[in-house]
Amino acid sequence: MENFRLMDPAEVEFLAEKEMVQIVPNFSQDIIYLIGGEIGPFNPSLPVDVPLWLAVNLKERQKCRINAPQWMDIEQLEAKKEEETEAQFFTEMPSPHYMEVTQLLLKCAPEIPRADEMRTLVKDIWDLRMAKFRRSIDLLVKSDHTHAKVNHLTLMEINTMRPFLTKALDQIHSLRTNTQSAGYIAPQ
Amino acid sequence: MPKQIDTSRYAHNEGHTDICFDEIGSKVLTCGADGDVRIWENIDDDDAVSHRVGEKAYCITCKDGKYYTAVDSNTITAHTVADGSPDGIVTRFTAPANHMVLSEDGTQMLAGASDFHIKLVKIGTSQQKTFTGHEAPILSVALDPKGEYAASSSCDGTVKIWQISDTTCVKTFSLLPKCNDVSLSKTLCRLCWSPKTGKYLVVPGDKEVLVYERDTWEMAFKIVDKSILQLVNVVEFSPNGQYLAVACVDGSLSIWDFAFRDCLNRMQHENKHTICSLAWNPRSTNQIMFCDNHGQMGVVENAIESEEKTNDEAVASNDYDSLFAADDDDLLLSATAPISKKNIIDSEDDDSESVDLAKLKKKHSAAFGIMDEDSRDTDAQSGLNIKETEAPVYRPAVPEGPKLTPLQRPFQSGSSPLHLSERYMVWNNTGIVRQYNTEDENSIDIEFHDTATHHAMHMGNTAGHTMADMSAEAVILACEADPEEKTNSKLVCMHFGTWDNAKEWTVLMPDKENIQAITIGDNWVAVATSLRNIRLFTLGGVQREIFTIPGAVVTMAAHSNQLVVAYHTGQGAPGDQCLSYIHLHISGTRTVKDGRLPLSPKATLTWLGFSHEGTPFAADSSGVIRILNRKFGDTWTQVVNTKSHAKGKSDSFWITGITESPQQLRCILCKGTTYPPTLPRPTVMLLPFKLPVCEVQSERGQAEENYWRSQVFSGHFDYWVSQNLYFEEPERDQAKMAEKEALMKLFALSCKADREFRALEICELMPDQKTLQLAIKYAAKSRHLQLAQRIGEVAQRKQEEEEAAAQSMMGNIEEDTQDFRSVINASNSQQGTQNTWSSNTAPSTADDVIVDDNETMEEEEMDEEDADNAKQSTFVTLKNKKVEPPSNATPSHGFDSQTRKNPFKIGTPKSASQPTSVRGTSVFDAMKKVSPAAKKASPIIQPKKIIKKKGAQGKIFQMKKAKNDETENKNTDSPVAEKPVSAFQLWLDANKQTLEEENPDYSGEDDLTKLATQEWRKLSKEQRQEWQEKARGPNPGTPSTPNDTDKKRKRDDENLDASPLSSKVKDTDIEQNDSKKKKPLSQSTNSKLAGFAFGKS
Repeated sequence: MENFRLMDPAEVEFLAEKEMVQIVPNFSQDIIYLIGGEIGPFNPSLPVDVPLWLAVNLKERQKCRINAPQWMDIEQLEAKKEEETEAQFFTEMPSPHYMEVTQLLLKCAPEIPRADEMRTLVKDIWDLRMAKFRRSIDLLVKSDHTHAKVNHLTLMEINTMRPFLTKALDQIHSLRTNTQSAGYIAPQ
Repeated sequence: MPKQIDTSRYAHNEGHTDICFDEIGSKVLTCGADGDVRIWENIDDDDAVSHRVGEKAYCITCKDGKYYTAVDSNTITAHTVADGSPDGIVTRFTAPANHMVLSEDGTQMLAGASDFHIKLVKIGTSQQKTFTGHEAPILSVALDPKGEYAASSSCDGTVKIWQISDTTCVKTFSLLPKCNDVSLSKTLCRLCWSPKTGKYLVVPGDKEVLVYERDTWEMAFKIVDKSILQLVNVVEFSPNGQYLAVACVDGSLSIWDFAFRDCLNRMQHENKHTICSLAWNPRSTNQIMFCDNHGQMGVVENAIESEEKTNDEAVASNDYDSLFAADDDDLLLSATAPISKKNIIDSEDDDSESVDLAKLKKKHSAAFGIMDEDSRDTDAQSGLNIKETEAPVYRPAVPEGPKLTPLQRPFQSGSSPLHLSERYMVWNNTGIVRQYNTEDENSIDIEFHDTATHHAMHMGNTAGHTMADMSAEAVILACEADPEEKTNSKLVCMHFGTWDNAKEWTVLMPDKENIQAITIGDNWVAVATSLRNIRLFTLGGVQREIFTIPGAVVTMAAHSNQLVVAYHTGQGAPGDQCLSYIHLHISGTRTVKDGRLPLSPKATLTWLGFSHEGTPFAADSSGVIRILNRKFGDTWTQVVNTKSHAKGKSDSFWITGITESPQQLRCILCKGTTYPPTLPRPTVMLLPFKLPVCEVQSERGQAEENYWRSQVFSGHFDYWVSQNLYFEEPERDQAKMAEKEALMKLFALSCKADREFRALEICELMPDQKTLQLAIKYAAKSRHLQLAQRIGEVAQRKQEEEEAAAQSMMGNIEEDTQDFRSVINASNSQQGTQNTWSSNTAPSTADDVIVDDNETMEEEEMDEEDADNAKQSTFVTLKNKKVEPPSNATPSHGFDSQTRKNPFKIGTPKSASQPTSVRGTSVFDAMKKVSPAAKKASPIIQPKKIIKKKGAQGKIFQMKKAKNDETENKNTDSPVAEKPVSAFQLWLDANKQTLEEENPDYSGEDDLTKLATQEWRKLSKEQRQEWQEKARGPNPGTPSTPNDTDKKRKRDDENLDASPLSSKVKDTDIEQNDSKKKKPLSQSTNSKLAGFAFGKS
């Protein structure tokens, strides 16, 4: 049954760490050349875009301040939440890793203004989307269709649902085949 | 310091509170947000009578034993004072009334309400008139004592004057900030008429009180004062009309003698609450009662101080009129003050703006207020003179003439204003200093952008520092003198960069000398004081030079050894500041420059500082930033208007730093404010620079902007060179490259538009031959032949100029040096070259270009090329081949010699081999590709290199000159000083003796050399070649064949062979030839080349 690989949240988070965020360093450093691209140069007090993993690392060493990404603005998040509430389908998220980025950033930089509100809003959006997701799965299972198309899901959302969904569908499938051809034993 | 008034007793709940006296002044009535009316016997009355009139009461007035209140039921109701029983409703609105006034006789009431209407009601009747026209709730109304006019102010920002007879609006002033509702309005704008006569209407304005004349409605004058720092909330005449009380939203209260516009008293609400109502006691003009917006009631006794004290405070009218009426003030003063006091006044005058009143008061001296300082002395003197002839008479103010602009106060660049409780003392490229000045905290936070510099610091601020600056070495703080504590102005330097243990030093200014601006450079500190001294200190605290600037300082900035100071040089045109700057090098060259500091119209200076690279920049309040353009005679050039980047009208950018390479403006976006808040911590952003060129949207405008921007922003390289500073050459090359690219783009655009003249003008701007050659190519390819030819002329002229410049520099070393080129040219034209020419023309092919004799090249070129490549490049050798077949096969080899460094080299093999079929673009490609090579070849610091060259070259020239003096028919000379011994020299060594013997009459070395040269020329080609081989080859004397010589030799051989003749073009690929050679061409050669290239394409 485990012939496809499930991603656990840590792995998704790892991917999310490639997202760029803006930091204000408090040290000087020339451009750092990495396989993934150049980072820097770092000038004290000048904002610079770095991958999230570096931002978190620097922050933990107190080498920088992190500026919350544009989309983490309270007003924008509220607007996004509103949009998500009203839309029948999924809406596009401002960041493909909105949940992970919020989580990582706010964990290491609680001094970001209105961090609590941000966290709550992002969680609200997450809950909204997961509810939507479950509803559409419910619809899919009940409708007896073989496939459904869902747009704008983020990696984290997919991977939250995947273990359950695939197993459940499997189970349903085996139950159905059982009813059709009695005596057939579903594989474990 | 205005004295504090202690108010305060509780009157009502927090909120708008109104107060009035009854007509005999025995009782005080207040109403407030709690809906009660209280009747007090006096301020200490603990047993006030309280009546409830509604949920909220907005306004109260009292007459004839009745009081009237405006309440939240949208009515104005009357009650009896005696027992508070209701006595009817005067009028109704559809929204609460905000203000009302009774006429003198108490028969009419004028009231304005939030429903935008104003009503004039005859008390006791139902007759009323309604004035409509305001577009927002009415703030305040005032009734003309003569009953002709009504005045009103409204949240729509206007003050209107109404004709009562026909309820029309006769005049509208737009004065106030607009808002939607009274509760949102910053000001109550309680206006009033002068009592009895109604001659003036007094309107509270923004930081001023405006006085309008009846009927004409012209502004008679303004009352401004240092105590009026914010919106004025309430103005109220004393019952006799002599005095005016002015209260601001910041809780300041001042009493004025209206006729003299003389401030009698200044007070400050202890909690700085907004004073929202005022009432003069009708019994005694010495008492004022007031209420603030926190429901507190207070009283000012002795509002009008005794006559002696009257003059204690400064007159603070900025009227032009009053300036020139300063004589009057003098008269008045001299009437009351002994003349001896005048000296004291004068000695204090320099201070004027920040005149310390308390200090003056202590001395019992009189002083005038804020006037133009320059006119001060003369005024004071003329005052003395006139005093004897004129009696001090009352002169009504006659307002006329332009208004004087208040001089900008001194400030620290990168700081936010002093009155903020949390402010930035400085924010620069090193770090941030914040000051907290709240009730429970008085401290300074120092933080460094780079934590490696120093850790953050937090310290108390008991000394009351208000100025700060910081560098990577130290933080300096300064405070002004405190007259109450009797402390002098003080400078504190925290020198954490020191290696000893004493990290801090302090220096006190002399008495009466106040620090007004400070700055810190490399190992020095500068302080500007109120006596206009600039005091320099070393970083360790040693006093250095002191000098005086010609006007009051505005601000200062420092960078390494540079100091720039902005100061006032007088009164500008109305609204304008008149500033100058002085720019010095504290150490090193110690030069001083000064000039006027330009500002935008009506703007003030907001920032003055240096870029990271050390170029002065200035920013003004209209958002324009200017650079001191050293390349253009130290003019100031606008480099960006930050307002154009702002989204909202009231958004602004607060500058924290500037760098020139890369071009970055570091600033903070302040939404709706001028200064950034301390919390949340603002984020620095980068803005690009943009020169204000015309039509910047167009492609051409962009290229022009690009060009001039890189010009302006590369000025610091020249400056560095002049300061002997080391820097990375590639940086400059990068800047130059941007310039060239913009120029080429401009050139291409002009060509496309067939603007040949313009294109040529652009070529004039091109910095080097390489770019010019590209332009020629481009012009030729795009079929602008005439243009190509003219560019050729430009190229040649520029080359000559360059050489002349080099020559003149060389002149410093070798004084007698004569122009190399002129020697050659002269000899060329004199002698002609027919002989050599004809002897070698045989092998020319059908492709040959015939070149004029006059442009033929010099045969000695070969000998000189090692000595001076740059020189040599002047002369184009167009022969590319010949004689030996092998060289023909590889025509490029002749120019490919690796050992030759031609600074104008364009044709790397790569670009040379590039197909030239694509018009236009390939030209720029070549430019880009070539640049790295060119870069490498370019010297680190130009001047040095040039000088070096000169040394070697000088000898050649000297020799030539001598020769030239004597015999004019020599067109050649032979360098004798080359490192690789030349063939000629070898030959000369061998034959010198013979020559000497043969020609005993040639005595001098020079003569002999000349003779030798002649002889040398007479040798056959083969002979000379032989010598040449000797000179070059490892085995002199062994003739080598072309096949076994290296490229270099091949080239030399060719030169040798071709030298007697001049130019011969054999190679068919002139284009290639041209690009490879990248030598500056003589004009017609160039044009021919271009034409040829074009013809072929």
